[in-house]
Parts: sequence; structure tokens; C-alpha cells
Amino acid sequence: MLRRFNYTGRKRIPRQNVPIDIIKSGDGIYEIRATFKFDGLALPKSARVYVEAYKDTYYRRYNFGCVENIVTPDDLKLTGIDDFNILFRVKVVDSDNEGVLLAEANRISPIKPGEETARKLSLIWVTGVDLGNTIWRLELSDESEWPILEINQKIEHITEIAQRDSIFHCLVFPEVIRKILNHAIFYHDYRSPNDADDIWCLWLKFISGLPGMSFPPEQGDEQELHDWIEMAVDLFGKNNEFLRKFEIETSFGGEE
Amino acid sequence: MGQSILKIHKMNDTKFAPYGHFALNVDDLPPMPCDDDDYITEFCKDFHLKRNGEPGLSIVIPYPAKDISGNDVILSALQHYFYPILEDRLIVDVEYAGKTVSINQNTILDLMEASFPDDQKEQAEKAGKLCDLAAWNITLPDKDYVVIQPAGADGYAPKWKRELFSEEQLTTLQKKFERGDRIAIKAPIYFKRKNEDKTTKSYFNVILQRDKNIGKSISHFIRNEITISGIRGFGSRKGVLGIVVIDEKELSGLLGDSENPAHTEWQYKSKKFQGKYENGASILRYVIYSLGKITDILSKPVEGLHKDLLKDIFSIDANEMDDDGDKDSGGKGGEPPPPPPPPPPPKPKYFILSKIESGFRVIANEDESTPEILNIHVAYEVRKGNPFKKWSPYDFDFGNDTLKHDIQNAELLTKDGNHLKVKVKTNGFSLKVTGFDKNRDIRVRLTYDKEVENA
Repeated sequence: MLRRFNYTGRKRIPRQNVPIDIIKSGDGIYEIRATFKFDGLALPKSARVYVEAYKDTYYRRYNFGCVENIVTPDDLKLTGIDDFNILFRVKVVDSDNEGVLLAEANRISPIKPGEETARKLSLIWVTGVDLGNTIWRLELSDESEWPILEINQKIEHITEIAQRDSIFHCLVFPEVIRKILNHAIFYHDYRSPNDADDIWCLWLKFISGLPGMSFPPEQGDEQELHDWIEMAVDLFGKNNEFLRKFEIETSFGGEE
Repeated sequence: MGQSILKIHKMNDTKFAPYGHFALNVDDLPPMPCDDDDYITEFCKDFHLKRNGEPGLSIVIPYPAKDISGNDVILSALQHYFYPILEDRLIVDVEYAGKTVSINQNTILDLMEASFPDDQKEQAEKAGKLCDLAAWNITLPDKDYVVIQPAGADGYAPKWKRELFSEEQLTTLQKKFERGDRIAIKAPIYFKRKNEDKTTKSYFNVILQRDKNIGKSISHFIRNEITISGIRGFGSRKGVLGIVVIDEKELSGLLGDSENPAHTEWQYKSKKFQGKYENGASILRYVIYSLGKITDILSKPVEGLHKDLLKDIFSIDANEMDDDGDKDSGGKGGEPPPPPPPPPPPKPKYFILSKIESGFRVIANEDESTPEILNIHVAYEVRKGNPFKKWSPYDFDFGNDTLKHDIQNAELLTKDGNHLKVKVKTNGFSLKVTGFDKNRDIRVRLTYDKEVENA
């Protein structure tokens, strides 16, 4: 049994209540637009509201006044950012007791220019590196914000292969899922998507949402947790028809 | 007498503690150095010590391991001390089998070639290449180092990022790196001791050369002429030689505080280091990962990270990220999901765990037959990683009674670190633990076994 106790009474702001858009201003520079809905959270009217943009080591903070009187800052520019793979967090901070975090929403994915709704959040990143004689490797270090699938950049068209090739998917993705779930459950000790607000819990949510899957057994012993992971890997393969696709791709035409 | 801590060792099947003292043992006093002139003279004579009143360090090993040969000592000196020898700051004389081999600036390259046994020619070649790289660096004028932006100048934890390099530096260095040219980078870093206002500026040097023929990369860390042999700077990256040199006094002192007694690692949990510096662990990581991270920056194409490449397969709708029990997020869009199989029967809840003022309470669920042995692990929550693995005695320690506990109908078998072990006597069991920092979240993990354990 695992429990996290929040002693400061910090509240979680639903992400859909604080959507953030990225727009292109008249002078061609990208800026953010944010709207806030704090209904039902019973936050003090004087509490300060901040939006933070972050990506790897990139960080910008915008002061939006207070809960009662949201004031859009003059400078909303996202300077120094050349793509939209950026995330945001909204923080509501006690104005009397400086530094006390009253509420927050983390990992808000912005709505890009041209999009009408928030995009899907990718759960794994991919990068090409020199892996010697290995085709792929999964990077799951604490240093990394996200799981990263490393693919050998010495192989021609490897990016396209990783994205579209059925055989690559059939052979690689089950092991990717197995490794990520092992990391979430046995390294981070998570059992539910609500255990924390990070990528590993989003993975538990993603997997638990597969048809036929439930959350990991909260009080399960090690063997039960391994069984749950294997069930997830199998169901993912079933939903994506890996067996059938692999047989088609590897069959020798004309030999029937 | 310093920190003369070796490893736990065995002699004639008897295990000995790692602390070795050649000292006077008087009553209950700690071991004291000998200052009897006659005794010291006799000692020097018995063990052929040549140092006569000069400052320095002499080490006598009365029982060296029999399988260590004179050539092994030469090889070890070459591998661990080639840098100060090349700098002409160290000369090693090895006397064995009636001869003296002097390892110095002039003889080191020949000895490097001659001393490795025939079955270690590959290691010899790699050591020779590393030695060449070091020799190049030692003669490099200061103006030829590429000085990057300082890390930690803004008060944040230092972290490797492309922005530390100017566009011009990146373009030049990437080309040089790809060609296999040698690269020397000076990495400035700011840090601060806790409870001090003053910020210290320091730096370290990183020397790199890509060599696709060497297979596994080779890294070498040198602090104040000492090789820190247990650090691997490249992870699994291949085909790069790298040397990190820390000889600036302030940074060298910081790293020295984190060094284990055998001088093989930098450990952020070291007693002399922990809690002494702002962002201390990040500074260690910044130095330790420098070779790997610079390699990544110089070898990856600018658009190397594809964040949305597999979005169609592994993604979650941003609007659904907060819906705790939603089951729609994982399936393939558009197709109605098949009906789920019936869930397995839930496991009984033997204990009820709840939050109380500055702590938590565990009680037995009276509807169930309670397991006899209950293990409780507690840790302060962390933003990244497993909090139980990041627990430190500086957070709290059940063993030193800073936390209060009140236990009913159970016996406390163990209270040590962040672990409590309890033998539950009846279903009226209750345990309250209080005294945690109210400004931090805590994570509590209960594990138990239905079988009675031998406590």
C-alpha cells in the first residue's frame, strides 16, 4: 500500500481550467495567452498567479496578478524558443505567507497556432544517436524528463522506420512498454496514475486506459505486478494487431 | 594520521576492520602517533626508508599481496598517474628484481608501449592514445581553450545545455569533433556554500577527441593530480576519448569534500559534502556528466530530438490528463473498445493508512484477519525519482527519536532509518507517527507478509 500525504493542503488545478495558447504576434514573435478558472478551489482572492514556461533548461515566468484581479503582463513573449514542444505550469502562491504554494497545474500542453484544441501529449521522445552495433535503446534516467527511445542514426532512414515500419513496431514497442512499466512500478513505486504528477503516472494512465486493463494491483506482490505488466504488453500487442502484422510483413509471397 | 581507511580485508580467514593504525594505544585514548626518536630511527632502518627529516609521505606495506609484480606496479602508476608524470610534477621509481625503473616525463611513452603484456595490446593502444591527448593538453596555451558560458551564474542548479555555447563555438567545435580533432573546453561554474553570501567562481577543463576505432569510450578524471578511477564519464556512448582536469583550488576542494577515502568516486551522500553547498549534488553531476553531455551536444544534429514522432501510438489527450478514472485515453481512436473482462476480486485491505497532523496513522482493518508482520517505509516526496531511494538520514531517522510514535497492540521490532517493522498482536493494532516537516509531502509504503517471520 502506498500513500502520499500533502501536508500543506496544496490543491491541484485541473489543466482544462487553465488552457494556454501560443500565438504569433504582429512582429512575428510567439507569445502566450492564458485564461484561468479557479472555481471551486476556494483560493484566497489575494493569492498571486504565475505561469511558467519550461522546456529542458528553458524557463520563463509570467506574473498574472492575483486570483481576484488577473492582470495580463505586458511581456508575454516566448523568446529563445524555436519549436512548440514546451510545457507550462500554473502556480497560485500565498501572498501573505510568501512562497507557500496553494495550488498548481503541471505539464500543461499548449494549443499551437492553427490548432483549435489542445494537442495530444506524446508520451515518449525519439532521438537518433550513434549506438554502435545496436539498433535501439531506451533511456530512462532520472536526468531525463521523458522516456527517450534512442535509435541508431547510422541506419539510413531510421527515423522513418521507427515511425512507420510495422516490423520495427512489433519487435520494439512491446519491450519499450515492458521497460517503462517496470520503471514506473518498481523504480518509482507507483501503483496509480494519481500517485504523482509526472510522466510515469501518465504512462500508467495510458496503459490503464487500454480496453480490458485496470490499474496495477495496489496491494499486489512482485509477481502480481509482473503479471500486470505482461498483461499490458500483451493487450497492447493485441490492440495493435502485432501478431497479424508481423506475419504479413515476414511471409514469403508465392510459396503457398 | 588522516583518513587511512581501506577495505574490509581477510587474513587467514579472519576478517579485519578497514581502519589500519600504526600507532600507540594508550588506555582509552584514540590511537596516537609515535614521537619517540629512537623508535622512529629503528623503524626507518628496518624498512629501508630513505626520507630523512624531509616533508612528505612514506608508506610501508609489510605484507604486499604476492601476486603483485614490479611490472604491475609500473602499469598501475602509468594508468593512474600519467597526467602528473607528463606534467613533470611526479616521478615514480619502481625498484624490483635488482633494478630501478624510473617513470618520468621522458620515459613514460616508451614504458607505456613496453609494459603492457602481449594479451593487453588493445588496452596499451587505448592508454597510449589517452596519454597523447593528455600530453597535447598539457602544452596547450591557455588562449586555445574554448571558454563556454558559466553554469550556475543565475543561482540555479548547473545543467548542461546547448545555450552554454555560442553559435560560433558550436559550429566550430562540431566540425572539429566530427573530424576527430582534439578539443579543449574551459567550463566556468559558480557555486555557493550554504549559509554564506559569497558566490565562488571556478572552472574545470574538458578535453575530448572522437576516435571511432576505439569502441568503448575512455574517460579519465583528475582532481589535483589524483586520478578518480571509479567515475565513468561517457555512459554507454562509444568512440570518444575524454579527460576532465580539475586543478582550480575552490572546485577541487568541493569535489574533495565529496570524495570517498579511497579517492575513487565523488559521492553526494558523503558526510563532508552533504548539506555544505547550494545545489551540491547538481554540481557533482555537472562535472561527472560533462564528457557525455558535451559529446551529445557536439554530435547530435540540431533537430535531434523528435518529441512527436510516435504521438499517434503513444499519447494521451491533454484534456484527459486530470481525469483519474477515464478509460478512453489508451485505445486507438474511433473504434469502440471491446467490453473489458470482469476484474479480479480485490485483495483484502488489512490496514487503513491515514494522514494526521505532521504524520500518519496505521490501524488494522477489523474486518480482516491482519498479517502479523508489517513493514513501513517513509520518505519525503521528491519531484523526480523514487523518494525511498533518495531518503537521507538528514531528512529524518526513526533510530534517533526525533519523531514520535505511539503504538498499541503491537511490538516494534525495528526502527532504523526510514523503516519501521512491527509485529501486530491483535486487530486493535494502531500506530501513530508524528513530527515530520509540515512543509513537505511524505510518501508512506506498507508491505506485509501473512506468514509469521522470525524477527
